[in-house]
Amino acid sequence: MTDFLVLDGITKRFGNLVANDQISLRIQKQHVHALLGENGAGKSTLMKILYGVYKPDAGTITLDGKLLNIHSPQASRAAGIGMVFQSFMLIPAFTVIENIALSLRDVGIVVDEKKIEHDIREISDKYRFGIEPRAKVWQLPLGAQQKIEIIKLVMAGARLLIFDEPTSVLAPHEVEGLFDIFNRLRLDGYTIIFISHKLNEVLACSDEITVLRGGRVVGSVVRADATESLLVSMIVGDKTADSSTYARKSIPANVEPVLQVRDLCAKDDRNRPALENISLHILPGEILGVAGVSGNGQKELGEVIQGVRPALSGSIKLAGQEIIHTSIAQIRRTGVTCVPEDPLRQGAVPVMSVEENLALSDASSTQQRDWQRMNWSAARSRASWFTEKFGLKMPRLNVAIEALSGGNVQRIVFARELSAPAKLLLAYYPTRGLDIHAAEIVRLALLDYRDQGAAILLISEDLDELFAISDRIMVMYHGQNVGERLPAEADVQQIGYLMTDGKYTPEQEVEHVAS
Amino acid sequence: METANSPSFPMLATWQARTANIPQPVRRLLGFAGAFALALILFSVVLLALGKDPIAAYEQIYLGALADDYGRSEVIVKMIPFILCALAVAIPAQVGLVNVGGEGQIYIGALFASVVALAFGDLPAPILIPLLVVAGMIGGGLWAGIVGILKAYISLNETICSLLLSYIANLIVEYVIHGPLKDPGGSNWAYSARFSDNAILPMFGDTRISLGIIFALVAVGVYFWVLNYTRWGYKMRVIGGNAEAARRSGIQIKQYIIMTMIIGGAMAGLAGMVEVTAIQERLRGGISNGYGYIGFLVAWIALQRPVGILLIAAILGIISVGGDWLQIGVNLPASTVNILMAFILFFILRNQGMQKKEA
Repeated sequence: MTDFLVLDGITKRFGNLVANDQISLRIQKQHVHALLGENGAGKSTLMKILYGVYKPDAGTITLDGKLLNIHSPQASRAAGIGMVFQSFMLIPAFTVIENIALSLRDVGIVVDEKKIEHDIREISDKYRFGIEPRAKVWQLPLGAQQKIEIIKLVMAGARLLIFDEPTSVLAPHEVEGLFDIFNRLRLDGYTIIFISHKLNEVLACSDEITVLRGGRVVGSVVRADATESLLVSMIVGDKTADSSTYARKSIPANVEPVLQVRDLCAKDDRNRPALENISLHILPGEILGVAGVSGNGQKELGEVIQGVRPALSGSIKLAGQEIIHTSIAQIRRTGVTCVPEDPLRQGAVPVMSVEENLALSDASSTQQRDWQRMNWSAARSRASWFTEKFGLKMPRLNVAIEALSGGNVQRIVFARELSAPAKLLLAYYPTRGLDIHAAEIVRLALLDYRDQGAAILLISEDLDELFAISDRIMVMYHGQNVGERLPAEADVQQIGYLMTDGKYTPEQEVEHVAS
Repeated sequence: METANSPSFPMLATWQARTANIPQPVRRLLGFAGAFALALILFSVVLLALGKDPIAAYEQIYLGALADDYGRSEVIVKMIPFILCALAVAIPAQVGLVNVGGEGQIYIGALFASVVALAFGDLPAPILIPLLVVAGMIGGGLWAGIVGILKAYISLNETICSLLLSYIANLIVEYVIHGPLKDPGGSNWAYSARFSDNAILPMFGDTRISLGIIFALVAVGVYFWVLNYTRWGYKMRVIGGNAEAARRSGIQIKQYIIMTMIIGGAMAGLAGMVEVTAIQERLRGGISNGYGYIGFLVAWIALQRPVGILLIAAILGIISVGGDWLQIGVNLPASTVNILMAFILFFILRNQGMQKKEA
């Protein structure tokens, strides 16, 4: 076997963040090579470098023995590298032929539809895609659209195919079909890079697996040597659950939960099930940490609780009161506040100043009538209060939010949402984009808020953070609550299994111990 | 991401570097003046192409609009509909809506006011005139409210919807002046009977400046106050700035879409009412003279800001009044100045686009 693709010392920085740190990787010809890692591990950045979307700060790429100078996606395609993105680049109103003709570089002014149709049929028959070239794309299911993307790449002469989380759009039975296609492509001489964070899928289809963590390569293992437990420990690292840092208050028995969710179901933006009969509760003065690979319903859970997304069935009780089918404003007034997933888009107005953004949490209040003057001093005090109490610096009040860094937007939104007492706080990735010192302050502020009696739903990608400040950890997988653990007693490996597989069985335990 | 910041035009980059230490408001004003100058220059080229002397044309505009009291008073007369129609665009624009239906809202406002003026012409002026104001505003508000409701509940595109409703409004007025409200005494002219004197707005001195200028100034004042100081204006700006954040903060976006359309339409309706009660003294076709569209220009050139609306309404008022004199002075149709107005909008928008890129 020969090295088909060699990445050597690839480094990419975004400001202070090192997304890829000295990544070196060898990929063999005709292999399915899986890239595995948590969100933010650097997989996508690395693939975007390979595809010419980003230019690396350092490092070289060698394909088939030739040193490549990839400065654009065009250059990458010309070198024989093709990528299937998570969102497909297809025009729904066009036929399959028309979509593929658009991607071909050597079509003339008059499109030879006959020839393209013939080529599509040939490839479709060879790999058993079952694609009808004259069908309109909008009529086809997502699985078929993915196959069109593959046909595009094959017809454009790509030899290395990159799949960015291809299974995220597929139904379970389609996943196996995709792996069959991988296999047939491989036998035909294609090399495949498969990005995923699902263990079972990676083990089912790949020849070799490379794990990334924190922008670095943890290691590569061939399929024969790979076990679930080995991969889990590579993904999550040698974390020892440290739950002793912060003082925890014991919660008196028999208190009524602040939030009581029962059998809640909801759909995601693509109309697929996102929450499947999830049940959970949070007591006053308790932080419930949610562990899980993102995209397993965390986003939808918070949105349904806030009233932003409709629930299909189930019940959500806030302090004993049913809040499904009430308005967003009413739910806010009942005492739900949120540090959203994407503060700039969901919790701030970019063209407005910091001061004006600090007033946004007043918008649903009924203490003042709409024709009355804005209470700007109350808005300003939200930032100064936070700075005085916790010593976290805030940006100047007259700067527009769009001129601020992500971390500064996060500070503003965080301070604003925590400035008034609420029954329930939904905190999405509260420390994302913050430096170590600011992140520490934010954690302390969360604990302080909890100690004042609020219930907190903490969604984080950082397992260390979840273990450090949660009173209880719940794992979400496929829109379900697949297990709860107390941080003091939980094992990071167990959580890792639950996150990536949805279950933790005795066999896995044996394997885990044996390794 | 990186390529967006790296300058692709070296000349532009050095220019940006040189102007970087000029304070933002000054830079904005300079950009504004520059855009204006460019529009005047380009219009000169058009005039030269038509074989006319641009200097003479500009002189004619000045003489017509600014040289004497009559010209100046006529500029103020034009400013009334310009300001009100600019508000009709600016208020919905605060929540991100594009109302191009000012024309239709003027016509329906004028129609409602005319019906009241003809039906209750015997009432004394102090009672009748407030009634006319209310009727005009209800008419315009209703016409725009239809657009708001369709936008809020079935996501119909408000731009196209308001534009198409303008044609319907125009035809309704045409029908009414050919039919039910046709002047019985006016041989065969398609217009309504003249309103009674009680329904005619009082004028200042012997000019044609009516009480309407007070309505327009009060409206701009209220707009300024609401927008900058009240919770109401704040919520409007939040919706316009980021509708998703507004929704998640519990702001009732649908209510705001409908209300801002209604209030905007009421402003255009008021302009229609002023036009029939102060200028025409009866309902007839073609009363608007494109005020709805000029109002759109005013609002967008002024970035929907209250003081800007007053200023730009004055500038376009001068161009518009002066344009009427081009016919006499340099033998050009009065509508030639529409080209100049379009150039101004074009360069101002381009200037805004560039400033956004810099920021």
